[in-house]
Amino acid sequence: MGFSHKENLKDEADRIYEISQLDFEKFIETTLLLSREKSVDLLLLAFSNCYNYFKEIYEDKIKGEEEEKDKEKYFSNLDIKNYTDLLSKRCKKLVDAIGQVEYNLYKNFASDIKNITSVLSSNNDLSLAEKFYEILCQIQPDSCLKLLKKYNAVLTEQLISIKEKLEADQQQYEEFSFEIEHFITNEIGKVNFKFSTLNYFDMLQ
Amino acid sequence: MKNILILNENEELFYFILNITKSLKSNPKTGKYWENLKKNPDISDKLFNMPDFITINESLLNFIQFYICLRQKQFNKAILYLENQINNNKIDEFYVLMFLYGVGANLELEAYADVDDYYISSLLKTVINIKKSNFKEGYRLLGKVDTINRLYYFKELLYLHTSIELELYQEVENIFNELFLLNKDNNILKLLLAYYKTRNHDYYTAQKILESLPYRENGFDKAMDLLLFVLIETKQFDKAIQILKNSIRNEKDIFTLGKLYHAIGLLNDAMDCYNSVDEYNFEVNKQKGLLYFQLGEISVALEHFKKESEIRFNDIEIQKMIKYLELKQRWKSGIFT
Repeated sequence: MGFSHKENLKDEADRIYEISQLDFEKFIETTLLLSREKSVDLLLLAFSNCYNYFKEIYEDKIKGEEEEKDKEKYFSNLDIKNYTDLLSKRCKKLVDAIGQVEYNLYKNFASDIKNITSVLSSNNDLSLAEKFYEILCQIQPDSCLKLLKKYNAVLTEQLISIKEKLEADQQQYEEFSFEIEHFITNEIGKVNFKFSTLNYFDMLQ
Repeated sequence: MKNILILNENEELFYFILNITKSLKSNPKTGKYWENLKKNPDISDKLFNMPDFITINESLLNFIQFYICLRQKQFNKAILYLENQINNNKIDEFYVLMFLYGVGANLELEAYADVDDYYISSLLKTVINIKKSNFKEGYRLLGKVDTINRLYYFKELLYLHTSIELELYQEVENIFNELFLLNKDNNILKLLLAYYKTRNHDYYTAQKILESLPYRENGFDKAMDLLLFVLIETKQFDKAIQILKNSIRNEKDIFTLGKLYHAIGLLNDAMDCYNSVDEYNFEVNKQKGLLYFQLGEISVALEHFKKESEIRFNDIEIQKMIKYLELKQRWKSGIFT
């Protein structure tokens, strides 16, 4: 008995690093057509799996180069360099697909987005992190600003611009806060009842 | 009191119609006819069944016909009766009455104030100036005819109006004393006194006077409005609510009632009122926005402020609130906007 359509996509997301290129392209295409929440869920899962595997292989590759060990025994059908390149490209394509979904749909996945952004930043993969920062900036600006401040030293130009925008926004909010909260409180207790001039002759019946 | 004694018959009718003297109220013919006409101005057969005491006085008849047309909203026809008076060279008490009622009904009568009788003309021009809130000019015109005592109490009423607005308080006190000597039970005068006290920030006296008036009765809308103004100014919201609750006249009252409930924290009652008035005529969405803000429902508050801004797009305060709530929503609740 085969997988149902959705189970199949979930399975592909789990194995995103090893499915064929054709299946990968189809996975992205099909996932973007799903109900929006499901599509976000699958894309984030696929990206996490792909990126984690990419990092694992990449680190093994570096380690292998250092130790001059032959790692091909683990991946007999693929050249390791080509494979890491392929995974890197898949990560970028998944990020592009993630960017195609409306940002407000990520609000229920804020914690996932925050984790992914944090991991990417700590691994210095800031070009991949940019899109996640853009999303986080919209759904949790305070968390976004905290991360941007934490990784201040290594930020790309685009991330510096997001950080500056958020800082200006936060400053404006704080300035507004006192003035408007005070105004609103006053406005609630205010009952205006105007009475114009009174004319005896207007009262004549 | 000596002034009452020198009133001629026409003047007596004039002041009776102005509600200054009560002398004719007990008169079975004139008093009853006038009170009945005021209550039922739409019965046109009144034109054909005029009592003799009216038909023998050409000017009074003209005034009654003018009055009926005015109440039946036949304004052009009404003006013809006013012109009749001019053509018949009758610039008398009834011409003044027609003019007063006409101005009260917002007819454009400025040209009709320019009559040959300089004294009457000055009084009528003063009426126009009072209507246009040009009190200084009205007061100046009265000064020019100060020595003439014809229609004396009418002139004093005009002085009273201009003096109140020009804050000539000693003069106002004197005129009130004189007018109340003539008729201490005149409710319109009492209302005017309450208005004067309110202008003078003597809210306590104003409230006492107003509470003694039949402010819920037809024709006393201004008294009720003034009482509400005094109660709201003195933060007696509970009393204002009691009055409004029992005498809702229009949507403005419902909206005010809503704001009063809102101010004392009865939010459900406030919301019921807000839901009952037209959002295009009243700032309902602004109030709902404030209410939801109090409840901490920022996104619903924002929705209402945005609606308000679509209706009254020049309201800078609303724009500021929208901007602020968007920022607040963004920074505090982390919801995408």
